Amino acid sequence: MGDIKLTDLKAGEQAIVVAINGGIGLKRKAEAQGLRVGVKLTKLTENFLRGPITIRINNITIAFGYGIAQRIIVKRLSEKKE
Amino acid sequence: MKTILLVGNPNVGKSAIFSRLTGVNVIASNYPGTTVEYTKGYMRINNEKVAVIDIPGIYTLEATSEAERIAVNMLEKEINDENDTIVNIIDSTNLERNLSLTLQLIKLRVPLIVCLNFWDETKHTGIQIDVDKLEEILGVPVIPTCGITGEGIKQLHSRISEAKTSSFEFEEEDRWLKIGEIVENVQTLTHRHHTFWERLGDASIKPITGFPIAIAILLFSFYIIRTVGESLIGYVFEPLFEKLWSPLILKLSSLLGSTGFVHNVLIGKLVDGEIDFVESMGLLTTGLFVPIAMVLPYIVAFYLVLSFLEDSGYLPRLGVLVDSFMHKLGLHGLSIISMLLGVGCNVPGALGTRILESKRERFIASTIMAIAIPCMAQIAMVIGLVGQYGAYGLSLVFGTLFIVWIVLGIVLNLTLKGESPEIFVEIPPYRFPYLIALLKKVWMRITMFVKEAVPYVLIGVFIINILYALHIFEFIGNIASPIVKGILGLPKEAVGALIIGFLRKDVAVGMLVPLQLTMKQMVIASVVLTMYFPCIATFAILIKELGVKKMIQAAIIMIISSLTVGGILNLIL
Repeated sequence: MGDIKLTDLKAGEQAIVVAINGGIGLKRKAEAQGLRVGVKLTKLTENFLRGPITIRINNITIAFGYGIAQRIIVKRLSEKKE
Repeated sequence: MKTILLVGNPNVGKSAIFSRLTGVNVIASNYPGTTVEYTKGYMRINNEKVAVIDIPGIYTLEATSEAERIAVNMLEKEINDENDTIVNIIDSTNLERNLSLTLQLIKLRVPLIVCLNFWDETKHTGIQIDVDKLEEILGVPVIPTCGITGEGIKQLHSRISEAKTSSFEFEEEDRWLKIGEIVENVQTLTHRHHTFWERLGDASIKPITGFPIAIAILLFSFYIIRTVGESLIGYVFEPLFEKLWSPLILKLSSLLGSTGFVHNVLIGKLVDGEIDFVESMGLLTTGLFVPIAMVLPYIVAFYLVLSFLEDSGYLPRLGVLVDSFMHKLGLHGLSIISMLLGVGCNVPGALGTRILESKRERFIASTIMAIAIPCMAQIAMVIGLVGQYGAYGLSLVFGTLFIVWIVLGIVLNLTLKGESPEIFVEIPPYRFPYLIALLKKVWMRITMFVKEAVPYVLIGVFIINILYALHIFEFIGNIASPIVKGILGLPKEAVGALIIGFLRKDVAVGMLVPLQLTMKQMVIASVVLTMYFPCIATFAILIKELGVKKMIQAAIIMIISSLTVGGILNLIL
């Protein structure tokens, strides 16, 4: 299974963050909110018209724009489980 | 004086703890030279008066936004005495991420004490934290608390003096590794069930369920604001003015001889021997009645509802829902929060644009807010002028403003260089607000409004009297009549209202009502008065926020767009 963009993950699926392709600003901001390489996330929702995406890491829910989500590379975890 | 700083991530319940520690005597102020607001209060520890400062929420000391940078500066500046203490407030349901800030605070080498807040929530979220072990590892006191019920506050109070500099050592690049180890050591997770609130929380960000929920919440909020506002006016403020204040003023009026300049300035003109609080235009009549009995009740109702939505965690969800749409206006979803604040009063709304990162966004947001978002004073004005025509008249005014808001946003987005940054925001879980902290916040917002509004209304009423006495309105009316009459289709006497509108919009109502305008003219006057200039208080804030040059640009946009829209309305209505 290859690495995919977070935008290609379906709502409800879980994945491990493989890379955050962004400048230091984005990386810092992401890290500060608990989003960093190696953590497991669940994609909660996506919006139409390339609207923002929400994910959950542990008990934290974060929302960010589609453009940011495209720069987050994840590895899909096969089964859906809670 | 010894200072205690409350430091923690956003949404960790800091304000509830602050409010528990400090009691009533709390002041909110802007940090010098900035618009970032912080609150300061006092408490007693061993009979010594100690200052407590609630530092705005930060995720990290390596600031990632302008607001965070200011908060970090504030933190570094306020620690200047070796006895100063940091109380680090942690969300115990998110131990890992919160500890990141804790470890950074440890590196500051100041006396530290840690609160594990939302302790009650760990039980139903299946989290167990070994508090003693965490205290041992960090080497500072760790206290489980719950700001809402007050659990642990006494203990926090009695142990604050035990705060000490931690001897915990780590290399900065190993921070997350260390955090992982600590969490592994102190936290055990057990199976958990999703609660109703969590399901509702998720449902309100999914588009399919989120939009109906948003519409329901906004309609319900509107209903509450209207009911509370009208009841306050009908049962409290109007009776106060009519039954108590009016007889006193009438006595004063006869003492002053019922006429003359002083009488007019203080009391104004009597209508059929009675005081008309809207039209009389005296300092003690209209000057007090307009801000206190017409606008304040709605301000109170509005901030109660808005603060509840804010503290419950709903607003970021609304921001996510409207994000795609707001991008068309060159803004991201969170700017809807400053727009909502602006519906109360444009002054805090303009201050609220600070949450937006770029200058471009702040310019667009402030400009379209100042032009097209009616504040409570403007809404009161519109209702006073057009309310008699019912829903049709009101929807003409507010519908026009809504269209202007969108069109202007789109135009600015297309013409200004640069692009709008994307949203990046934490969505906190729904929580029932701590009511005392909420009421304190509402109280601070109301006093801010009274301080901003009442003096300007009084000045406005005073100037109206002077200008009337000197016949200046007539003079300017004649000069401006081509614009006012030709483009807007208003009588030249309406100029007076437009001039006073620079100071306050709500005062202008009393000047337009006697002119016997038609409905079309009332609609045009309402729209133009709302759009052409913000009130003087907002103007002052915008100059501070945007700078003089940008403000002049904004002002030109205001004048051109209000004349255009007024002219179009004059042609099509």
